[in-house]
Amino acid sequence: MFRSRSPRATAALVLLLALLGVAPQMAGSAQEEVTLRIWDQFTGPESEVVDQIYEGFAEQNPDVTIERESFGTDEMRQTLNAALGSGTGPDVILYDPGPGYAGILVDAGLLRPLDDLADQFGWRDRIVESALLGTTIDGELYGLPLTTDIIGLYANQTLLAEEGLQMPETVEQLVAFCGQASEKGFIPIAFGDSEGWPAFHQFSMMSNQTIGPEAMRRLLYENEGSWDTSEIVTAIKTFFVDLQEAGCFNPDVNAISYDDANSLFYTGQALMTPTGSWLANDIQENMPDQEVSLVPFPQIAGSQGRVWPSGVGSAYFVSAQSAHQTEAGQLLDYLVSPETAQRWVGEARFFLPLQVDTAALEISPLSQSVLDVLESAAAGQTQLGYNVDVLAPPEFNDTMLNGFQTILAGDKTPEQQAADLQAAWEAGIQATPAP
Amino acid sequence: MAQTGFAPVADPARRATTGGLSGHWAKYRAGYLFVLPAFLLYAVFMIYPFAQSIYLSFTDWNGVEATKGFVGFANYRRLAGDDLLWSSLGHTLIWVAVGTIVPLVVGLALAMLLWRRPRGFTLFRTVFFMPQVLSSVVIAIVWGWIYNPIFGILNRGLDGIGLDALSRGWLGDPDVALFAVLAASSWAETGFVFVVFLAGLQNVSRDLLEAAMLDGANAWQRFRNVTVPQLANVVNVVTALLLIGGFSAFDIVFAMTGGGPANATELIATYTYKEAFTQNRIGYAATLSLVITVISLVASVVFIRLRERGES
Repeated sequence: MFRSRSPRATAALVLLLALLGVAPQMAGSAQEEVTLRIWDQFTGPESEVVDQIYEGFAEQNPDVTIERESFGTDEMRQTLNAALGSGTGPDVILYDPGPGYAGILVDAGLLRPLDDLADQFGWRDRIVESALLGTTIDGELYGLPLTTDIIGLYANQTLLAEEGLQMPETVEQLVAFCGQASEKGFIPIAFGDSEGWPAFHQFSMMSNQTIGPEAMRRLLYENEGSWDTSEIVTAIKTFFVDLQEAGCFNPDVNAISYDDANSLFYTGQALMTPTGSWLANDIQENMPDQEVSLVPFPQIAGSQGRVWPSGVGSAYFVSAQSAHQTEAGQLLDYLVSPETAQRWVGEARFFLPLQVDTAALEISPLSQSVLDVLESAAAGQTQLGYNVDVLAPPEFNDTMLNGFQTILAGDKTPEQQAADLQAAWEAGIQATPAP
Repeated sequence: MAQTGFAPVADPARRATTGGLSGHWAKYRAGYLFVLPAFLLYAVFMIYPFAQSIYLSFTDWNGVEATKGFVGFANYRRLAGDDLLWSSLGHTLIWVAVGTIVPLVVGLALAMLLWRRPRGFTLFRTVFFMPQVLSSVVIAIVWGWIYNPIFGILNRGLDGIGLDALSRGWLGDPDVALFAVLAASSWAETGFVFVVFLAGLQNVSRDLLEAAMLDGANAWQRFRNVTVPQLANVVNVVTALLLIGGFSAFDIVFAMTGGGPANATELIATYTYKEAFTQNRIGYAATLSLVITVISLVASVVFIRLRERGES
């Protein structure tokens, strides 16, 4: 067939094939060069460490070149959905594991299940079970959890000692503490909810206590139970009504941003702030001379006990369309290898759902306390609760966001919010896949 | 070549003398070719997306799935029972009304003050126009600081003059948040309105004003019956622009409150964005965007018709 063509036509065909990328394959390459495209959400100071970690993998695998792009959260969602949907997306993605994020990509068949890799590399022996559960969608593991958070109450122990204030263990004691702290001119608890999402974490702390972590797991993963119960009403009422009425928070909670509330804590105007372990590094940087502790929220009377809600912050996923599945799997395993884990913890200052040898690392007491909780959970000694919003469908999160702001403004009852949450849950799980 | 191409376009009366499609094409070919680039741009960036929006509004697409499930008029039926749509629409109407009237009145007043070029004209003109140069996000951030309950100058100022009873978390109080954002938006829009009116005032006949003054008209009568009628076209343009801009207002609200607290500042455009990109309901969001289109089209047409009737 080739012989029958004129030399010019043959030359044109060869050129065309070369342009189409066929020629190199015809020539046959001994070692195929692979370019792994990674999209992640590291846009902060840790970005440089991430570059070095990826470079480390490329050094171990000389045939692999890594092309990295970083996105903000909203930017990532808009770009990734379109890119994967049109078949032009990256090979590996660091993304949020929630139903509204990775969930709908799984539903569209755009992400690759990782169960075989988990077995091959023994991830299940090394990674906290609840973290793996957090990236399991429709019964299959899709994400390799990287960052894990626990949520609790930070307290400025230096100021408490100076002012002779006792650390409250129960909500009753906390209410008394709020009165004493206010009298001394302090904001007892800094709380800003202008964005709406900070309330998600307060709700997680309260509801994990009132129904217990096991009931929360069944509710979130197996849709067993209801959000419209007296326990959930108590959870909502305790934080968003009772503590506000007891003067525990700064005024104008709905008008104060998360960052502004943190500033109140950093500057010593507030004695406590309820948020997640992701703030530990910022606290250490902003309050170098203060001793700060992170504790589980004081116990609500009649609850199941103090619980650390925990959730996967972000996880690595592999595109189902990636032509480099083997290399992507190797990269993922490298990212949670003991050596790399030390770099994540020591240099990027992340908290990983793994047992990490921190003996040689410089870790502050505050960070060490978080690592201890995670290590105890990895060893099966502590049962962590669940950070609700990362496992709930977008409809439910929207109802949390607006509903808690409305309660804080005094325009909604906890009973109505509990009923609305259940309605949103039912609507949400019909629209998006279960976690 | 160019001359022969342009001649028929410049003289449409000759169209009647030539019959048939081929004759029409021969005569107007160059004209069509000149229009083609603009038309292609318009087709790619306006007509095609608009047609796609209409198509998507009949689907339940979530922005990811390869297939877009056809759901008929389900999205349109949902509009009627969507409480959040109606509250967003209510906020949007308040936004459009206040966000049109305030800049219009304040912009005109400022332009009248500077019409006779008082001392410091250039300085005031620059100062009044300045907000228009700033991006919406910058305005949102700066006004966010002004309203901040911890360090904002507004509450500090109110406390300082003994009006501390009025100080509040402006962007966190569902009863006042919409108006607080509107104040920032109106401040920004006024600069634009002011400059357009200032330019329009240059065409107002001073002879007529002097004649009215000689006839005994007072300042208000001269303004109402002599100045304003001569500004009618400028008022038309500015109002239409403010109306259309008001219906699609998004950025400043999104940056200042994100539609909160408790949906109190949710406009139809921010609601549409959330449906599309937070709730992953692209099909329903496309339906909402068509609602915005229809409302702003109707509002603009009604306004222009009313003005035309008023003029005739």
